[in-house]
Order: sequence, then structure tokens, then C-alpha cells
Amino acid sequence: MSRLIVPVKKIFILLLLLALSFSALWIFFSAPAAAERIGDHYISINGSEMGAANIVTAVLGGFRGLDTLGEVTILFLSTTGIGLILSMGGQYFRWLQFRPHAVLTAAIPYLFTAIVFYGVYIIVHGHLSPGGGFQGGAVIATGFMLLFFTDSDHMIKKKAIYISESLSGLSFVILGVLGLVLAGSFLMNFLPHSVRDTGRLLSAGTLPLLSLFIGIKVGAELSGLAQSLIGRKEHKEVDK
Amino acid sequence: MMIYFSMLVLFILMNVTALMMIKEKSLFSAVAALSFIGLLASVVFFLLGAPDVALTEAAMGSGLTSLVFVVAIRNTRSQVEDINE
Repeated sequence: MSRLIVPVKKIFILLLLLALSFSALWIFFSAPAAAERIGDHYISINGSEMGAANIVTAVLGGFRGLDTLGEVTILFLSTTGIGLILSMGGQYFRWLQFRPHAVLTAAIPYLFTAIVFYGVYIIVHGHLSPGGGFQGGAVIATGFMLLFFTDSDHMIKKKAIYISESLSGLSFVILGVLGLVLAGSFLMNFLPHSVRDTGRLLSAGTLPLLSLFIGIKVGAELSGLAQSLIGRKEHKEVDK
Repeated sequence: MMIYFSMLVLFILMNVTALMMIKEKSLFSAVAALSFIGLLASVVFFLLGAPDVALTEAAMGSGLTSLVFVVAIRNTRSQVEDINE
């Protein structure tokens, strides 16, 4: 019996490898020619539809806004899952109790402000310079992470995190529905966005608003994640 | 030419740091080396003309990932010796 099984396995693996290599070749040869790539199309209609100086944000927030919505939802679900797991196994969780270095403790009051301001700058200038909601939110969360490292008693209110997160998510969807009603498709740019204004802070229609909401949402989610991983009061009866 | 040279230096540095990360006895030092690799990778992304990705890599790859690793190391015990502490 065993003599029969082994060749079957080998043949199966061989077939799998053949199928994999064939599909790789097929994907390689059936790739669209350079002329019909969708990126060039986005670049060509960026002026008339978005008017953003930073095309990456125009694609992420405007042309592919639905994908960004899904991405933010995935992030929300994963942070919720981590919070759930940590609250379930709370009595086994050892919070970080090492003493922070004096340099970090002395620097963080100045550094925290600078980091958060940099994150806000990235978010607000998402349609002008590199970056956007996601990057700025991650930078803000890094600042909060350093704050929690120096002082694990420091807490943001859970309610504040939940409220800012759900409000910004709701506003993102409302902007999308407004685009559906006013301009004809979900997340369509319905505010004025003339090419003349490209480069100004108030330009590109709904794009700055969208990146602001994404930034608040991502920043709140990742800060909440850092708090549930580091914060001491999350795990009261631990580390005996 | 300058960009190629700096890319070469960055690649060598990244490889050396990765070797250090593997060979390191203390797990926390290995995490520090990992986050340094993330920092170098963000510089590489910037030189290749993707500042958006560089920002994400600097914040996520070298900031928040190391936090998750540190918490995970803190909450598990080593089978060999207690070298984490």
C-alpha cells in the first residue's frame, strides 16, 4: 500500500509544480502592453478629475478610494482582534516593566510634539507632498508609542479612541455617498477642483478631506493598538 | 553615479545588519537590528523615488513592528537560558 502512495504523492507534486510554472509563464506573457496600462490613464485624467499635485494620493484617495476603504476596514478588524485576544488572555500578559532610559524620558516632551506635528503636516499636505492619511496616521501612532514607553500609566481614554475612529470612518463613507448622489459615482470628487488651484492647500476637491479622515482613523487605531500592548492599566492583575 | 554608490553602501550595510541580527544572542538587540534594517530600507525607497512608501516603512517597519516584537519577546520564555532579561 505504501509503495503505491509514494509515487502518487510525487506525481501530484510534479503536477502542482508544472501548473505553477505554467501559470507564471501565462501571467508573464499575457501582461498588458505598456500602451494600455491603467497608470498612464490615471495620470492623464488627474488634471480634469482630481487636480492633485501628488498623483499617488489622487489614486489612493480618489480613483481607488474604495480599495482604501477596504484597507482601513482590514486595519480596524485586525486591531479589534488584537484587543480581543489581549483582553481574553489578560491574566497571562506581562506588560513591559523595564525602566525607560533617561535620554528618552528627557527628550519625549519635546519629541512628542514634533512627531505629532509632523504627522499632522503629512496628513494635511497629503494631496501636495509625498504622504497622505495612512503615513501621517502611522507617524502620529509612533509618537504615542514613544509616550507610552516612557510612562506606561499614561492613557488615552478608550472612548475618545472609539469615537474619533468611528466618526472618521463614517465621514469617509458619507463623503463617498455624497459623491454618488452629487456626481454620479461612489467617492467621486464633487467639490471644486480646478487645475488652476493645483498646489494650493485648498485644492483637489474632496482629497484633503478624505486623507484627513483616513489619517484620524489610522492614527486612532494604531495608537489604541500601542496602548493595548504597552499600557499598564489595561492589565491590572498581572505579573505576580 | 552618486545614487548608485550610496545604494551600494546601503545594500552592504543592510546585509551586515541582517547578519548581525541573525548572530545576535540577545533577542532585544536582534529587534533593534531589525528596526535599523527597516530604517535603511526606507532610505532605499526614498532613493528609488518612492517617498510615500519610505514614510510608511519608516513608521511601520522600524517603529510599530519592533513594538510588537518586543511585547512578544517579553511574553514568551526562552527554552535555552533566560537571555531575554
